[in-house]
Amino acid sequence: MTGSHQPRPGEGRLSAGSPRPGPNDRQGGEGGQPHASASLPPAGQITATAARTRTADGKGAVRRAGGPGSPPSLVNASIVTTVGTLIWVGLLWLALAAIFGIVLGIVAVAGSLDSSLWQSGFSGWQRIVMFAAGYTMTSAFGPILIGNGVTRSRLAGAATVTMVVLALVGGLFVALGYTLEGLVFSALDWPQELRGGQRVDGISDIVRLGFAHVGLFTCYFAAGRLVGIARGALGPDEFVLLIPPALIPPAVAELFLIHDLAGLPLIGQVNLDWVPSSWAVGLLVSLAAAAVATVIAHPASRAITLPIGRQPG
Amino acid sequence: MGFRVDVAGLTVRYRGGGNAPALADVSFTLEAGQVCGLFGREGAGKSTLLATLAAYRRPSAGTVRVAGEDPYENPRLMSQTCLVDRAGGLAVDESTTIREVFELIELLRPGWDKAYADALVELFELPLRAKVRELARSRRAALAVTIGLASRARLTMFDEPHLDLDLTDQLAFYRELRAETRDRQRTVILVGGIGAAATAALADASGSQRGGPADEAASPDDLLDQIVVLRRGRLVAAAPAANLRRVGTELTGLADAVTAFLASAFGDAPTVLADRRLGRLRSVVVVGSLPADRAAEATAAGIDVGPVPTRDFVSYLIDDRQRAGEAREHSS
Repeated sequence: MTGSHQPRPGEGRLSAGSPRPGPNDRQGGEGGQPHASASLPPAGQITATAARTRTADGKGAVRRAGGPGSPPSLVNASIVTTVGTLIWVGLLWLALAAIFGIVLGIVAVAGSLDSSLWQSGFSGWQRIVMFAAGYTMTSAFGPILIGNGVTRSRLAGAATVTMVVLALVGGLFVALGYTLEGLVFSALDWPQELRGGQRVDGISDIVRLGFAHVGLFTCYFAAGRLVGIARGALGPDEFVLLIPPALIPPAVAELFLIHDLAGLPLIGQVNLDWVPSSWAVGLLVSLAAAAVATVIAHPASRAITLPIGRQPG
Repeated sequence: MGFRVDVAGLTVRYRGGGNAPALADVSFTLEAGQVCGLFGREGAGKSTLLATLAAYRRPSAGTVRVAGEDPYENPRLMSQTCLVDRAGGLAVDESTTIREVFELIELLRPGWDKAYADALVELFELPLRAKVRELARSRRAALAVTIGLASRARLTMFDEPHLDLDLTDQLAFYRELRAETRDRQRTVILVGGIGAAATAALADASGSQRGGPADEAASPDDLLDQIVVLRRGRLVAAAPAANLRRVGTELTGLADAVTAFLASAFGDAPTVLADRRLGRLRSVVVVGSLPADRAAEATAAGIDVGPVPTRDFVSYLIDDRQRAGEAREHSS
């Protein structure tokens, strides 16, 4: 060919299922040339192979992402963000559970406890893990999804799904920890008390703690997500200004769930009698705060810029 | 059929980037199904241009249209656009294996052709169980071009990964790309065009097969329909490759003879893209072509007249030092 390589209508032979044509194409670049091309397959041969594979069963290639013209589904995007998060968070939790078992065993043999080891050493800081997980929705999964043709809007939807799943699984994990600890403490006749003096007594308390952590984790995840979006949209400097408002949801959760979690050192320090003691109210308020953050996050996600070079102005 | 690309007055400014924009008032059009070679030195704005086309970022000013629409947050266009770079273009964790990378893409890319990807894996001898961080530069490049090809995206952009391929793989990539663009009319943007080594290899192959139909398979310049050249964020040239191939003329001969001929043939102020001296010899690349009678006149004066290969012509456009004569070569 001596002219420019213009596409020619009707030449989509692969899509028509016919083998790759043109012996010239097949021999291109070979023919005794001194280059390594002698070991190459004929030109476009593997394109033809793929086409034959695709058309042999008459069903077309595997297209789990949807048809050629349709964008990836929310389910697929959510699988990426949720499984991708659960991989590292799950590994962390597994390690944590193992360490907790070892420490609990050592303490059971060598000493005694009068308050929850699970709360003070293991479950309390999981809120930070949730914050980090929320942040990675933009910093880690943003480039992966947007770089593969997923819109920011869909990324936002997937992040919301991940938030819900992770909070539920996290709440379950915390509840399981309290259950295991309760069994051991009960066998050793130790009191299983939280930092604020609340006693964990029976399955109902454990369920309450699990749900409280669902609310707490949702808020921390939402906050981390907002911070990630702010950084993705504004760059590494300006986003700092938006950190304080982004932290409102976890602050709300800490406040309204303080009677159940006693997670912050505020209890006993300031007058919090006005805070409703009902864990259901605390959970609802927390979820409402997370919902507001999520509503803000969806349109804000549209401003995310992928970290290629510097941030645009 | 691939997507048509229309860029009009595109300007991108960076935070903290001073007054100089990364791209300034760039305009060009790429017809659907064309292959575009995008050239420019580091910092010319090539990656920024591609990032804007791939909806990674918004323009600061101007417009970008893909298939007549704004690609930003456009699910139809974004899902059919693929940009891969030297890092693999995926931003996956480095501990991810190649197999996992493909599984991930299969979830997200609607046009992903698994059978084709498998075939490319064999062609480029990609170790599926290897982690991305274990890959040498050429293997990482092979991963990137495999993703770009097998994505079957209607707008596919290669931000130089193909330049890191081994020569054998470059040739294979060239052939696959050629088959893809011809049979599927995908619109492709290749930063840096075809690698220099592959160009030379393919030119050799083409030369030995000239005159026959095999030319179609081996001529490197044929792959590029359109050439876009950026320098310091500004558009230097955007033209059909065939036009650029006719634009430049190289005159080589004794310095005095070349100087005299230049003045007579091109006037007092010829547009000189390159001016090199080697002893008494002088080689000048000028914009413009010579009519047959002037070419014969030059030959009679002992001056070799020849066309400028596209790659060389583009490199002259990119590098303004040569224009200023700073790159003159002297015998030592």
